[in-house]
Amino acid sequence: MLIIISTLVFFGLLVAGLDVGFAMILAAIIGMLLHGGIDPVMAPLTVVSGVDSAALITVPLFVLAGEIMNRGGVTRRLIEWSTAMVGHLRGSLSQVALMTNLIMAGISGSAVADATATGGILIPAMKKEGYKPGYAAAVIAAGAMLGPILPPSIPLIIYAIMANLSIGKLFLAGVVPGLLLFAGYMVICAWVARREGYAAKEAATWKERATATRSSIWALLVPVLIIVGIRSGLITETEAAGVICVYALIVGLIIYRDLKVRSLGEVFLAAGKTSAVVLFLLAAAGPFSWLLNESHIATRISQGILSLSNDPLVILLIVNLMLFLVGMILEPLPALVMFVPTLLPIQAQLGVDPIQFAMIVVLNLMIGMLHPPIGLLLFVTGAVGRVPLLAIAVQLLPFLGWSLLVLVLISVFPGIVTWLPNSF
Amino acid sequence: MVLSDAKVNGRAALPPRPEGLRMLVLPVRILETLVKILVVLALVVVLTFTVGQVADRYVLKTQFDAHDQIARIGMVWMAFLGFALGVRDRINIRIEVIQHFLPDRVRRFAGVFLDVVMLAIACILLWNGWQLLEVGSFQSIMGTPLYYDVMYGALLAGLVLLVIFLLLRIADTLSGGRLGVDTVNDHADHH
Repeated sequence: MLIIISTLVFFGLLVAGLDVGFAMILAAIIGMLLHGGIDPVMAPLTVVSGVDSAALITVPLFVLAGEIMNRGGVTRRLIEWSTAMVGHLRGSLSQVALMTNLIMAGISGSAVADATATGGILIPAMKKEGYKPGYAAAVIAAGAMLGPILPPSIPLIIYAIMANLSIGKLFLAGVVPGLLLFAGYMVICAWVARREGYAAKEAATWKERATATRSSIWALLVPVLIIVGIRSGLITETEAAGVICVYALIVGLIIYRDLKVRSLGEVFLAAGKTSAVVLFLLAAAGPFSWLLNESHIATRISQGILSLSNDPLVILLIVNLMLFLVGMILEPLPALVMFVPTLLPIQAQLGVDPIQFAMIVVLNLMIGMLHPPIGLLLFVTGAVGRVPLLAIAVQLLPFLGWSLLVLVLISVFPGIVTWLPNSF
Repeated sequence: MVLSDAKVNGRAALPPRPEGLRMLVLPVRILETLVKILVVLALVVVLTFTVGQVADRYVLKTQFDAHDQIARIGMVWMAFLGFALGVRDRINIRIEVIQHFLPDRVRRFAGVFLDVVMLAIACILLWNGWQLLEVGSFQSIMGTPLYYDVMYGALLAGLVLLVIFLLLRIADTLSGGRLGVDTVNDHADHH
């Protein structure tokens, strides 16, 4: 009863448009009052403890690194590099958009940041070349979805902290599913280009490719540095985030010189505010998670789901369906902080590899950004490219279909996810 | 065709702002700038001490071993102060499904109502949070001369700022924008 009332309050406030974090806090306070015998000081105490974790330092630092890179001229260089590499493929600009997003995914880890940075340049360019506006925005939205799947990824960091998993291993786990998604999206772009008659550019010469690579090499190295740094044991995940910030500062200020010292305050402030909004969500989840724990509600919910079948695949299917529905009404991060405590006992009971389970949950919730009604990337690309949402949603269908297929594949074949983290 | 002033910024045309009301603009701007500086400084602390830990391990080799604790304190301050700023700039995470279908007047009323709800929750947290300062003053943060009241202080400081920013926004909306202390209007809103 307690959880039903709290959940109803939470969703009621959410639909009314209240800040997601505050909706969680109020629902938790009401739950605490109904539970009885709980000191009200637990509410602010658990808010602080929700964010008081050394591992969370990675969040603002990776956001800062992405912000510095984005403002340091990286986006433009990556588009030039992608044009040199894949511009000759069928559906030229759409392939360039995907490739640019793939590399951006290895730098920023935020889908919204990637969609804004690449969409601002590539959606108008695609529209100018005769691409349907809805399709241009859909390509950017699908490409940007790679951001939270490939390392570094804010949702993966948050999941790792909540489930007590290695951030480095989760980063590696995202590589194969991310590349699978990317490959499928490229095929879709080629197919659409063939159907719609979108032209391909002339292939770049090897000299042009070498020049473009030399110019973008500093950005291309970021994902490699992160993975090598963490897996070599020389630095921790948190330190890697800090080192990448310094690297990004050197690249932006000294090498590319697109970043000015006087604009650093603005860059730090933007990163600070963005991270604060994400971190507050975790802080706000503190009281709710504490209440779930205290009243053993998470265990009871997971027992309820587990009682539906003995077959792990059926349970995984149910979990996937549940998350897909959750993704329809909640943004990925709030959904993650709300549902991970409930899902962890299910993973433990099923005996599913925790790394595989983490990828299933994160990918499923990220797919939620591609479909209505709360598809965040629909809103972002629609706003950036001035394209109606319905037009984007229709054009996104093939990308959505492939994403769901990849989700099924990683649910059925754990090796796709676990092979890389287990190999290093 | 001449655009009506009534449509500028999606707000009704405002009568000239009385001199007395304008006095609030400067202190609010100073407060906002101060908080922005603190957020930037907190992030600089996080970065400096995180990278400093690597430099210390491989180069400097000092005996200081609380880099991560200081970085954590910086992060907590950045989180709570930054969130207050985020709410002021309306970049906090919320889902506006119904709002888009509401007429302007009703939407403004709903906005005020939601701000009042947030204000009430912030006040509840503040009211119950003060005693944490006392509790925290006995819990030391390992490796530093600091105590946990620094962490709880961050929450309280963020909540006080949030209350101020929310009160200013509510007052601004109720005055029809004449106070001029709310930087973002509903139409520039996201999410």
